[in-house]
Amino acid sequence: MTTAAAQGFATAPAGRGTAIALLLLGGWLGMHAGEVILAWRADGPAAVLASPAVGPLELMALWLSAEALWQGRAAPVPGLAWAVALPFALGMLLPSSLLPALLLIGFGLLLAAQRRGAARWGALGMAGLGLNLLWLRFGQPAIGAPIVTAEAWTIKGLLGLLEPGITRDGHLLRMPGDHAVIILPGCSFGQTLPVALLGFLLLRHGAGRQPPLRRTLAAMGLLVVALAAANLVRLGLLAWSPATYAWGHGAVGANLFGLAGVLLIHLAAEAWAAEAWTADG
Amino acid sequence: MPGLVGLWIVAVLAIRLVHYGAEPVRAEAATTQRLAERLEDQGWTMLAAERLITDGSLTAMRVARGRCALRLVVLPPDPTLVAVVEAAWQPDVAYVRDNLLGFDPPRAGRASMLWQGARAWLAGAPPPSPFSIALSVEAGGRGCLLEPDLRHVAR
Repeated sequence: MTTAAAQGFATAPAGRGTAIALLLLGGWLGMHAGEVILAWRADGPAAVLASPAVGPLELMALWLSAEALWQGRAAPVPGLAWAVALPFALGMLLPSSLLPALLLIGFGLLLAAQRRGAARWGALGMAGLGLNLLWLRFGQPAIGAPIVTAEAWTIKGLLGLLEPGITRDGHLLRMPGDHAVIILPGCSFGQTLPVALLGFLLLRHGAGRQPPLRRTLAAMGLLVVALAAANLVRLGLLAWSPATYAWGHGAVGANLFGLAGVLLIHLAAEAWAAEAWTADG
Repeated sequence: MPGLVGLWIVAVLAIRLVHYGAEPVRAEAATTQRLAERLEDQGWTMLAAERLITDGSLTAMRVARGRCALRLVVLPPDPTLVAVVEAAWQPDVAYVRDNLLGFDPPRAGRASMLWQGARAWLAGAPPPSPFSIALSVEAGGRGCLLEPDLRHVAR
């Protein structure tokens, strides 16, 4: 084999792996594009920032998935994946949101089953982002109300220690005076937990590490508690007064809490992460 | 091959820009605009708005004409938002729905809301939420609820 032919042979798998990565990325874009466009048209560009598609945890999980796919681009792509890629690509051309989510989940899981190492985790991450959207659209409205109720009850109990006049009516919290806030699903811990756990798993395993399962579960449990506590602090600020609401719900406060979530995920991913590197990681 | 996939991504986004660019914007904003125009056409004077939720996600318009002063807000049948209105404007909150004035708050079943969401996803269009207009009297007595003509505002 000549040098040029050898180089071509060496880059061909990477090219195919890159194509697969771009297919998955295109699926993610197709899944979110409709909502982003509608939000922009209805409320302007600022409304796009409130979309789950551009939340810090979603973007972190997307970045980690893309990074893992890039690292694993040289891994072989099985023939079955190409057979599925064509209907996947054609299905994505339909201007829908549910269909891209389902296609992304199916294609991602198929690739994860067929590939190894970083490529597997990247595909799992993309499938996870599709599942997260199904949770936001269907799961949370169907079964997420108890989480919001528990948060409202907890905030009322905690703030009631400082201000006995606070009242709760379902998810509506009223402070003495005119300040009232309603805890909508978008502000709930249940909104961000699945994508936070996805980011945690990608950070912990995406580079080929395999920490012991018991330690991973312990770190995951700590992360859940930390995220719940951080969200309660944020909700408490929103409910306390119009001034703290304006800060906590504004650009600075919202991004600070988002970055805090990212930091907590990174800390949890490194907790007790004694590494056992895989051969093809 | 990556170049071909790149072209496909452009096609995916372009199709959505064309499709979603042509869809009606969120019905709540359009209905609120129609409501304001209809009231002004009927001689109602706009007063300072009332924020029912501090972040502005539920803001009622206040209007006055003669001895009557009313508060109105366009509502999707979201039980959370309905509860906010009921708590703020109790005891008399009226609802205009399907061109009829009544005192029963609009309720959409969970299955109905999920199906609407699924239809929106499958068809790629915003869900046609059945809106109502909630209104309450600030001054002038209950008879003021019959003063504004709100037929066909909530489509």
